[in-house]
Amino acid sequence: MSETDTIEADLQAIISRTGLTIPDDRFPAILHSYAELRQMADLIRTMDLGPTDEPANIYGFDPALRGGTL
Amino acid sequence: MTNSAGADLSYAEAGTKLRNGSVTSRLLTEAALTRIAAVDDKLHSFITVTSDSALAEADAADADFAAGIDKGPMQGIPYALKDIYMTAGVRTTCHSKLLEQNVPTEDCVVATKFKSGGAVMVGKTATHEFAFGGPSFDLPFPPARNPWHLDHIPGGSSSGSGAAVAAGLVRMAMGSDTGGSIRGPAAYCGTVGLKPTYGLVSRRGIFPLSFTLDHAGPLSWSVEDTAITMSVIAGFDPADPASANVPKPDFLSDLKTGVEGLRIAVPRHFYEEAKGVSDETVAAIDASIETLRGLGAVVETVTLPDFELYNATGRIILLAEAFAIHEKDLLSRPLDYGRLTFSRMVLGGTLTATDVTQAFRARRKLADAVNQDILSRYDAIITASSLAPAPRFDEMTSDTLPSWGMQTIPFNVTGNPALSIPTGFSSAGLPLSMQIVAKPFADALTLRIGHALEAASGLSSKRPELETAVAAE
Repeated sequence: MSETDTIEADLQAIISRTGLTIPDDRFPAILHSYAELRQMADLIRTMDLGPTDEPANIYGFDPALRGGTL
Repeated sequence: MTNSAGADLSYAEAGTKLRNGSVTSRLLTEAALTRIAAVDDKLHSFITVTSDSALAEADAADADFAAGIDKGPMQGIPYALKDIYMTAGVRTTCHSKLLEQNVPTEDCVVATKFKSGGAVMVGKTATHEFAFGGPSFDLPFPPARNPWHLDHIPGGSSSGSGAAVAAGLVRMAMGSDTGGSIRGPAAYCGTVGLKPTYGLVSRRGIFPLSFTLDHAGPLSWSVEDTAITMSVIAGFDPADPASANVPKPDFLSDLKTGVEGLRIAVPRHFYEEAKGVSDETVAAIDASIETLRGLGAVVETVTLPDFELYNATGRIILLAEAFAIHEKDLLSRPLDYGRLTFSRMVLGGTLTATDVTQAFRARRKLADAVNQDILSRYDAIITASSLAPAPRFDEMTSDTLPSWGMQTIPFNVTGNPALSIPTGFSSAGLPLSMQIVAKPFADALTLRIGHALEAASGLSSKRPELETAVAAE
């Protein structure tokens, strides 16, 4: 199976799992963008991120408390 | 008053004239409505024009002036809101079939601030569907067009706001910016566009695209108009979880104090090495840099992480959050979305939890690279807004992820204030631009630098000959 076929099979499986309905005429463009998106995800993984590098959206009490949700 | 609906009066000038009685809010509002009626059937910048309520608000403002009641610098002045800002009793469609008949019962916080400040809303402007899709012809409303050349796109997603301001229909219209949706149309339409610091303007009541990347801000004719608008809308909102509990900045006191001694960093590799950058864009930025040097600023070249890292991080976060917001409708009524919106938005459903978490971890590092590495040594950063002038509608044919040659998304990732400002015109007469970025909550500094450039260039006095273009159609 070529890399292109693998990506297409990967996308088909995701679509099936999510339950999305993709019209046939839109699939080629979505496949193209999906391949681009996987490259973006791979690019981020080239960054030097160690175990203690925390995400930018780490949870904090201040906004939660002032919004009255806790 | 010229034919540009009173938009030739700056907000400051209009404020003075309203207060000394040499102009009325009704006059300004009627002029705006007349010009909208004259050109907007070709420009398509408005989805809804609120003529009756606008005139009522204008009369109320005039009555307040007569009674000596002063509600602030935008009292009596017309403006518009992008049609994702919820407005009580006024249809808010997000330019989508899904919300075509949506009439909110409450105003968003920004609209509330304008109302309490006595400003006059003349309507709701076109957007890309849900501030995301693209210029589309399969939606309930046509896409806005670029007043400099009607065959060209105005940028997006605050497309109608950019077009309306450039066309002189209103002096300021609000936009939203998740990956460049204020600065992009500002760049393509030749207006000023400020993406404020994340958390400086409340997002509450604005239909979300991406919770952690969405910013609300103005597109204006001039930097001073932007500063005055920010003085009305900025401020802490405890009910917006992202709102920053910081003192409201003073946007006006230092606006005209120049740039002498400021240190400005230029990551030239961001735009010089980018695919599709135009020579004219680079030359116009270079000319602006020389202007700043001539005004006494110190400008030096610096290096940031690869632009594509910022782009990838922003895109992944944006798509994931947008899909989460729209998942239910994407599954249950997919064909009610425009083709472009659907084809792009479903991609968020393909991302893994790890993809998104890694993007958020990258985000912190990339923000540090801007704030700790560069803005600890410099006052501001200059880079391109768009890499080239606005393309034609018939060049926008793809359903794939948009690749418009914008350099805006890094500062959605970092949250820094970023001001897009005109730098000149291409040989085809289309606007060129660049952006000025500063430390978080140093929005006033971006305006100060922008004002110095604007004053030196005189570009804010040049406007499109829209009547000629409309008459030719």
